[in-house]
Amino acid sequence: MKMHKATRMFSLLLAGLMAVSLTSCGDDAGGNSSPGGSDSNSAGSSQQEESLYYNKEGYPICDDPITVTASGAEGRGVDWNELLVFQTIEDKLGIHIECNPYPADAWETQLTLMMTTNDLPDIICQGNISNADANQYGQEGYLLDMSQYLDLMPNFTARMDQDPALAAYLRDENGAIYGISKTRDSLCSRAVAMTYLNNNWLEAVGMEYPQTTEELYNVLKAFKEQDANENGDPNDEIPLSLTFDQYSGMRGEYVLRSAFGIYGYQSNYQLQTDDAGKVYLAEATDNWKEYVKYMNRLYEDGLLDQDSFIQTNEEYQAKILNNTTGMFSSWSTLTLIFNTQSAECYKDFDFFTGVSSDLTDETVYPLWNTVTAGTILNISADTQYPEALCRMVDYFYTEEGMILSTNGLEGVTFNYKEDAYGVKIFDKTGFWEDSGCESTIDWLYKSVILSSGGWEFVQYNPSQRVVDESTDEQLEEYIADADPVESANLVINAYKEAARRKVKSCDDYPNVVYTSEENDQRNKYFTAIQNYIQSTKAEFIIGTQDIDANWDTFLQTLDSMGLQELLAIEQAAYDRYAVNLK
Amino acid sequence: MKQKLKHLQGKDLIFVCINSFLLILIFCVTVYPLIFVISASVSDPAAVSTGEMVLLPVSPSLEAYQFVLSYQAIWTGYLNTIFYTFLGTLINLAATIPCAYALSRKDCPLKGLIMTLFMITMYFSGGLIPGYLNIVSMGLLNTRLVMLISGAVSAYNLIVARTFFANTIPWELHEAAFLDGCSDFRLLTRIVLPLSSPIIVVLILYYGVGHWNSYFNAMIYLQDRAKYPLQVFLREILTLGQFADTALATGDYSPEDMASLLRQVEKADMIKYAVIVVSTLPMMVIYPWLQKYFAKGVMIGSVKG
Repeated sequence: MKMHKATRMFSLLLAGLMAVSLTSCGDDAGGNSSPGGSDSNSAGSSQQEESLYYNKEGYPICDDPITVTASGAEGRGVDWNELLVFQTIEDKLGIHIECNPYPADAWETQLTLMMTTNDLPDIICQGNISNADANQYGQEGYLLDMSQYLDLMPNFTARMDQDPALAAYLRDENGAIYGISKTRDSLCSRAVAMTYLNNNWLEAVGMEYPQTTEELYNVLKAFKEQDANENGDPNDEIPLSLTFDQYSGMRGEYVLRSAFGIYGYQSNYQLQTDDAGKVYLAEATDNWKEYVKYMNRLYEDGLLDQDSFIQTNEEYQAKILNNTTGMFSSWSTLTLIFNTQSAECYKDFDFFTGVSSDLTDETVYPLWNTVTAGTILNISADTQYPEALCRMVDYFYTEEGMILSTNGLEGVTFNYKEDAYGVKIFDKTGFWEDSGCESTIDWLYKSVILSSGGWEFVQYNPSQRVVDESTDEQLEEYIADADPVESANLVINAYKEAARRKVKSCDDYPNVVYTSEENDQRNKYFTAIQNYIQSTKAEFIIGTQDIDANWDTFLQTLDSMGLQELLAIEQAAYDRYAVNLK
Repeated sequence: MKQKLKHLQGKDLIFVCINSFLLILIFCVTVYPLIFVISASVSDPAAVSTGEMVLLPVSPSLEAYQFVLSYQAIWTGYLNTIFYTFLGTLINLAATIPCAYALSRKDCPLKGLIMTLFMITMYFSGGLIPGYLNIVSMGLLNTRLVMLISGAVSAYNLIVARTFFANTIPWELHEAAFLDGCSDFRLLTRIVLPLSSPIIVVLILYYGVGHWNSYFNAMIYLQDRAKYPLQVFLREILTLGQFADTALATGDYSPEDMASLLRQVEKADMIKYAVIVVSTLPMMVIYPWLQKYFAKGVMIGSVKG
């Protein structure tokens, strides 16, 4: 691993040198081979004067199909050229894409090599380039600035207007857009701290759903002292089990923390802003101290699973499946229960929306950011067809494009079906069974769409949308009557959403983008500080370090590790973000 | 055994006891992972991940092998790897042996300088990007040839072979052959090589295992899946499991998809071990046959102070 890193650093250094030498060579030969965006722009405009190779509106985009190349990371060894989504792009949009994906772990090296040899494909799909890198490559002239073509991208523009966070995140300090990031559009997909409280246990100990941290403490204590799972053994109950900082069990922390005024989905480095827009680190506040003290109390009294810091995901799942935990946060395990036991059993679990404490007046549920960090699609600055490719990107912001990127084509990979509540379901029965794949999703990823969401720029899930838009009464109806087997997704989301609506919600700290200098500076401090917080948190909670006695030392150590410098960088990035947001 | 022990007395006995104990210990440490992997490959994955399976298989099934053997890409990879290993090793030998032999001879001009140049490559390489540019400019990108001829001579193996030739073939033998009118080529093929089987076996093994495990070059220089060696496909199977793992953590899937992903994670755990067995088996089978030459060759060829 170390070796790999060293090679990469070295190759990057060489990459820089090569880029310099390449451009200087170019100058000697008349300055026409620099990898800049200016070339393609002029090429584009000269073509425009003759006759347009593309249509400004409507589909296909190109009447005479154009051919472009695409590369990216493919984690499952699928040949993209055989995927329906690429064939449909050719049939429908008139753009033939020659794909050349690389195994996921080879991709990063390949990208560096392609850039140094000035041989980028037209489209980088599933390239996983961070926004900071994308901005840097873009400013160096490798990637296309899509903001130049926004007049050709009405759907994309509409999406940015609707979700200002997306625009603020994608634009660099000069307003340019060098890559596309995925967004979530439904509340269902943003309320994902996924912690559950066992209803049967609550009933068994005769207690109500808790509203405050103290009530929660008492509930957990009752779980421990009584035979809450009613198996005759009062001592096998684990009241609360989590997996700190890894696996899905880490999410329990996010909803518990919100009781102390810390709202977000970042572990051990949760930034927040005050009313004046000043960025601060939640872990260095008294609120966080109170949270850790609370967890320490749960741990010392045996209410928090003593294995919380060390258990593996398998051990965790086994505990939940054996009905030995009263409160847990493992979405995938719950799904397993839905599937293996009965879809009805979702009623056994309360979607836990948090509690309030002395520090907070009301219960607040944290919401995940709409924007996912990192870019999933970039266009090379050297492409001959920037307009057509931008229009192609725009296509995937239409309803039709969203369906194509997630489910394929009607009549080819699915038929529409309506469930009992008139919700559109993509019924794939009859299309995949003969493929030799063992499940629908397996087949989808092998022959229809990209597995890492290559074209799915907006998370598309009609049943989530229905839940989002429904009234409280409708939600109750879904929960009460809908057939869980027929539309499990709807029911589970309705259940979650109904619980969420009873409390207030708060947005996570936004994803922000750093300039390349900021990024270099930030890397110096960030990992060390995060690791320090993680290990100290564990010691505080387990009690090997007394938090009251060591709190000042903790804060001093953070400062000596460069927290103030780091926060200055965060503040600068946030200020830029806030400006872009307006 | 008993009789032998009777002859031993006092300190010797203690020595034999401790020695045997240590050897048995080392034997166990070496053998345990092998047995574990084989057992795990036929066990229920849940039992493996919870640590229920310690040594012997738990609820055995051949499902993992069924999957691995029906995975078309594995066979493509297998054939490619055999091809690269066989032909690549031949090329390695054809390039290394004459070179090592020439450098081992006293009458080779500029011996020191050439050796120094070779040694430099052991410590400094041109780096990834110049190497890549070099391959591109030679038109070797995405060809099978790149897997065969890049790195045809390893300086380390060259030194081992050179030392062997210099130390085991007496110079007097050369003189005698020359007196009888033997040419340099004839000398190499008729006299030196027949005396050098241990070092040839060592070279075959070193180069062969290198080709068998080679994966980075393929990853960088090959684009066409039909040309990938086995190791690239194996990594792909392993990362399949990781993919499902990360997908599960995001929780964005419908219950049915989630269940399917969970099954995949389980399966990937099981396949992992089957894949290890399948890919190492040929080497494990071949090694015992070469082992006796191997020990000898490495000892003789090693660089002596």
